[in-house]
Amino acid sequence: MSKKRWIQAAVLVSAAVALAGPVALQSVGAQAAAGSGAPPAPEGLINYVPPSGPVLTSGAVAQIALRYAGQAGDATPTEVTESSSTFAAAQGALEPGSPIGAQATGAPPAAGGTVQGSAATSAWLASATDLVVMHGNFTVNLPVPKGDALPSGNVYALILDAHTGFPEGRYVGHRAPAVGALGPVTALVSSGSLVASTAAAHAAAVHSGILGRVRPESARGEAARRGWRIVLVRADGPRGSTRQLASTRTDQAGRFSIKIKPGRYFVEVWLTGTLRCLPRAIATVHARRMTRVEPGCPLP
Amino acid sequence: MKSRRCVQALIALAMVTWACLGLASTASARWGPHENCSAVVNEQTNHHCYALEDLVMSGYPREYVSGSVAYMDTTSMNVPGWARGDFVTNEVWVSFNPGGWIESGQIGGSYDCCSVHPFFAATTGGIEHGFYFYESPSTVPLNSYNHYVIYDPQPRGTWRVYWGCCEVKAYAYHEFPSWSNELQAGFEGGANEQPYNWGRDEVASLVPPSDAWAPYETLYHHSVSVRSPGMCLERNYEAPAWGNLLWATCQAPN
Repeated sequence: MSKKRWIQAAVLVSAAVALAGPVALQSVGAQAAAGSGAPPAPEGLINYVPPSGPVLTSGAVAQIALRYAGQAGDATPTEVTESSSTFAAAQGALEPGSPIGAQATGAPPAAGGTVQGSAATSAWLASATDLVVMHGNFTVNLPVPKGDALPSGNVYALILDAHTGFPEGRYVGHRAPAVGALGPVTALVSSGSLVASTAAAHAAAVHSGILGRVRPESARGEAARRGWRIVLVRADGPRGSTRQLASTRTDQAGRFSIKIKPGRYFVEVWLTGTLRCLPRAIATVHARRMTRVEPGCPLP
Repeated sequence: MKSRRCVQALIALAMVTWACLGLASTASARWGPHENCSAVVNEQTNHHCYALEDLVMSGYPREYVSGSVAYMDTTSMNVPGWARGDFVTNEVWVSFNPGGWIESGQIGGSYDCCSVHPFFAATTGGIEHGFYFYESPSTVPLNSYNHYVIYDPQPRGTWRVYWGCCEVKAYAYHEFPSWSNELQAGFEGGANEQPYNWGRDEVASLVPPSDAWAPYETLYHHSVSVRSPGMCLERNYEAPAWGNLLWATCQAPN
């Protein structure tokens, strides 16, 4: 990187900042200059909106979990289990004494900690999650101070949002969380092998599927179609069925690809957790073939 | 004789195969002028790249702080390798050498390429016991100084993490020492593929006993800049106190 290019980059940053409009720098500086201490100024960083729509199947949870395991250096964990619960209960199991979990159960927060009450906070604590616990040998690519080793251990636990698979919590270490209090525990991998139902979902996903791209129908749609959620729902199942069979997200060009076993499926495009494009496309998947579709999403 | 040659051939074949596998395993993508930045997880060494300000203190009773305030402004975020586990953070670390650390800030890449989410993380009873990382599905705005605080208020003993208005985490009583002896703030990239991130920060240390805000300097030291090859770093010209930075991954997005 030459000095000239760095100056160019700095100029671009300055231009971007200028375009973004004025920032409350003066108030930041005033607080610092005045030497005022905590608590921090009121701002609204917790703008949580609970996702809705179909929840992930065990097969989908297994696929997500095994992807994280592979990224952590162990693509074949010996044991993987899944427990469904609220976020508060799942974090309480992973982080005993967490004020978030304690508040949800009505107990006084540990060590006096609090989460300020609000509708968003309550929705966050009550949101549906899947707590996945994996056993193997993991080293996880997560932020650490310069010079420190990456965290590692033989337990890797994930708190996944039950609707979107968003990885809210990640624990790596040597202590398996006590998940018994959360409810039924489903085995996804046992003794290094996928359990039958998970294996069936996995095998079906290998040889056929659906690919395509979201069709831009306006300039706004062209700009916004990246990162949309694509959900497959069985089309020849019970009427009104919304059970999600698989999901993924579009890339920057609006493209997507999902592997799934042969059958007829509705291809749904979700802009947010609650907003779905209409109408949904339909696709017929044949054995050992990828079916191409172009669902549309008209935006004003 | 024939079987001996056969064994020799098999050994040679095995060595060639082993060498090929070894080359393949070390040929993972990297970036930076010396291919010094990566997200390799098959060894304990951390190959992440950094652009940050680091205030190292001697510790209690001479040099110590009760926390740090950080305003993190992510101007641009794009992590092309997000689906393979790459990430970028703009954050603050409060460390208790040698007893672990607490960190908080905003992260891109852990769910998609470009959205930025607040997070906190910490070692759990020392890094040898574990590490817990929490990331909110909510996003934070770009081009905005978003507010993060890691702080052990009086009567001391319970470290707390705040995002803007709200406390989002309190660690167990005496899970960490009462005083921190190192503060860091800025950029971290754990990516195999070149990410794009421009940002800046304004930070302050909290100085006991009043917990008054101060730049990243003590009576004896001020912070120093740490820049991995491949990163661009400049003092934040809008508020050029110790600790305040402007950083970029140098190259503009394609």
